[in-house]
Amino acid sequence: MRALRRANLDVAHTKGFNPNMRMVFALPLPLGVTSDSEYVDIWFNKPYEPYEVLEALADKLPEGIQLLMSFEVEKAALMEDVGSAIYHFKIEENKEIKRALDQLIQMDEINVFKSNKKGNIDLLPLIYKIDYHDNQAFSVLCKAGAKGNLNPHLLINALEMYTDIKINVVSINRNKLFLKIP
Amino acid sequence: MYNLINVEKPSRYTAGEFNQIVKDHEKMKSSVAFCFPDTYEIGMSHLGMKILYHIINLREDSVCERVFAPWTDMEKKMLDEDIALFSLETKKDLKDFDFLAFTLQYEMSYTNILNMLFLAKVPFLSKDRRDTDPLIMAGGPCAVNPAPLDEIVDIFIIGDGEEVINEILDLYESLKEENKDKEYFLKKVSDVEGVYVPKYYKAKKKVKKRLVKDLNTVPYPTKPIVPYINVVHDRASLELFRGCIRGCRFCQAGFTYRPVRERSKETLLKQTKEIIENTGYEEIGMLSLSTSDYSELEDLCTQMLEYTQENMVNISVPSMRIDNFSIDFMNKIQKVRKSSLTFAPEAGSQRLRDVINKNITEEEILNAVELAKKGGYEKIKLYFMLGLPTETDEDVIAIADLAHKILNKMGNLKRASITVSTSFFIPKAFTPFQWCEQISVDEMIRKQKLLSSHIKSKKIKYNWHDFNTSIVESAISRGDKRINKVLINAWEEGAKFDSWYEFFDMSKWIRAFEKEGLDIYKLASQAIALDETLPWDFIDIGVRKSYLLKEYEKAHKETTTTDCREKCTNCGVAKYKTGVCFEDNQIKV
Repeated sequence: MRALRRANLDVAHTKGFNPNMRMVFALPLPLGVTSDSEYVDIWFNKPYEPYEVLEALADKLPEGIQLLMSFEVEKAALMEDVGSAIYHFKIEENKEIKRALDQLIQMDEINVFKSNKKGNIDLLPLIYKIDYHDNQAFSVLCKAGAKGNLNPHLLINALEMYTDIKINVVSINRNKLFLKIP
Repeated sequence: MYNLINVEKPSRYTAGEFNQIVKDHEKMKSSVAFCFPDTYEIGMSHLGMKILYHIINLREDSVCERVFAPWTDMEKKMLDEDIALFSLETKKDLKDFDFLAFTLQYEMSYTNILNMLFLAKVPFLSKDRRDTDPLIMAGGPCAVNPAPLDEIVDIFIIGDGEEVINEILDLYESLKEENKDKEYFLKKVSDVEGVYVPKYYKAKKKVKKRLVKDLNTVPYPTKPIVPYINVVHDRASLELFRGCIRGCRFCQAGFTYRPVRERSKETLLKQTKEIIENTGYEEIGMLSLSTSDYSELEDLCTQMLEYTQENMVNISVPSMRIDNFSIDFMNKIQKVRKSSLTFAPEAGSQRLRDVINKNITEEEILNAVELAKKGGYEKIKLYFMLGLPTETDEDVIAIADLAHKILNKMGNLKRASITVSTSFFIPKAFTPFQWCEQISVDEMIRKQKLLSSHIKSKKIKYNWHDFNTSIVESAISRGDKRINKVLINAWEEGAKFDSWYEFFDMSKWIRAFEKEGLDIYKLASQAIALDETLPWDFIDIGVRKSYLLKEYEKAHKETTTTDCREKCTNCGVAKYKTGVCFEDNQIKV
């Protein structure tokens, strides 16, 4: 938001007691997870050409964040449209990881405790596919968005809890976000 | 980076914020790690750090990076994994910097300085450090009494740092080119005005405070770092002036930052525009010891409003005196919700307010409340001090009386509420009360109870301050060189983050003093004889000791002193030939 202010773009504000910029990220990035691409809807008070927004923000974003593309949309509803995501996990060499992933995916349900909300959650219906790459990497295609979302940290918790291995995560990256097919 | 996932607020350690400055150390002639001995959120709110970070990094051949005290979870991780304390920008070991510069904002942060040195694997005592270790520099408000840290710190900066830091680094860089060692540099730097090097101090010469004569000509950080996480003051800051004209007799800043020097309205408006454009902040705060005393306040506010309203920026103004103008102004800047208004009468009775030279009458306070009420404010916060010199039980009860009178003034307001907060008086160096005693623990408890028993209305809430930290603060702030060992003892006992109530442990401090054969309670509460040599007598703050003594005597006669603008009372600081002392037709030395 401060970057938009620095860029001097005329962003629309919400009405009410505490006016805020009208801006919605497609899906919040979990703490400690890196990402290759993120999406955001921004409402403006006047019609900008997409390239104008791109140019205005070019040198106003913090290091490591780059605006890659911008285009006009008819209806901004990113948050509802997000359907799935791919997360890529890098870990320290672990010979057990393939066995553990296979074991996890064959369970009837994967109950884990969700610390910030009440109660348990079953991760199994959220996972579409797990790809084992080697003993230092695997990726997961999973449900994402407002209606069912896999938190990659919980997947690590579940692996350690049910398959009896210790995983030292090096990094987690969100490779892609997919919109639902209308 | 991922392994920070389990520590609280990883952004405290990752940096990469907008406007941070990263330089190539290989190409630098000198490097400074600016160390703030508290958390990221507190340190990033501190203006002094922003100023020096900016000034050092303006130098082509010098680099300044930030370091904060790691929270205990991070500390544990660092110890477990043998990671030494590092700077935020380039994650460089502190040990590899030329200087570690600590800011001394409050005495209760001193154990964090030791803890940071420990985590950086740098020996505590100057005499144990070698040429390969960094030099330890310290400055800031508490540096006016350097004695408690004079075996730990190599170089103290007394007064404003803006100019002297350049002189220090210039000297360091030129001597380094001549291949001189750090020891030689220390000897040489001790001759720079405003610099105190304990090791090379020549007893006959006083160390004279440094002072920026014209705040309009020194660099100001209009491109400050914009943090990712919420910090205590998450806004742009604008420094209106330095110093205070008032002369409240308990207030250290009121004497040590004399004389008042203002930034011109034009400078401030220019800086406002620059900061907002460079940061995107949605709020700008006016900083000073007493905003209402800025000489062109109305013009400044009106012109700032023109800019801020157009650009959707809020203004925050602390320490504003309540009058017609300020109520009107605050209604303009806080369109939405009316928060509470804060008054600091400091003492309940007129008699005691005269003693401390807080020149505000009960009538003025009640008029201000009337204005606040008309302005739509329903909550009033009141700050007082207990244990001020000459205080009697009547003075304590007068606090409760004043609170009730204010409540009556709020009268028919249904949601009217008043919060009374008290802290304990702490005698500080370079104030007229530097010789005074701090009341005993028994008296502290008795006075709190006395006040509490006289507050009858349910609409008045009473908050009191913990007395133990006031005792430690008193013992350290007027301490002599024996405190060096006490601090190390306290650290060995496990003391750190002492200004955080969840960490503070009085028993550790009692033992730390005992180990040096000292009684903390006695040290904190003692009155000092007027003719005794004080540990800070060798520092020349500009205000003469004889003036402080005169003020001490006036206090005991319940006589007030005019403020610097009304009439100069010749405190001695006019020798700096600047500021309020030379406005219009003030008396000169």
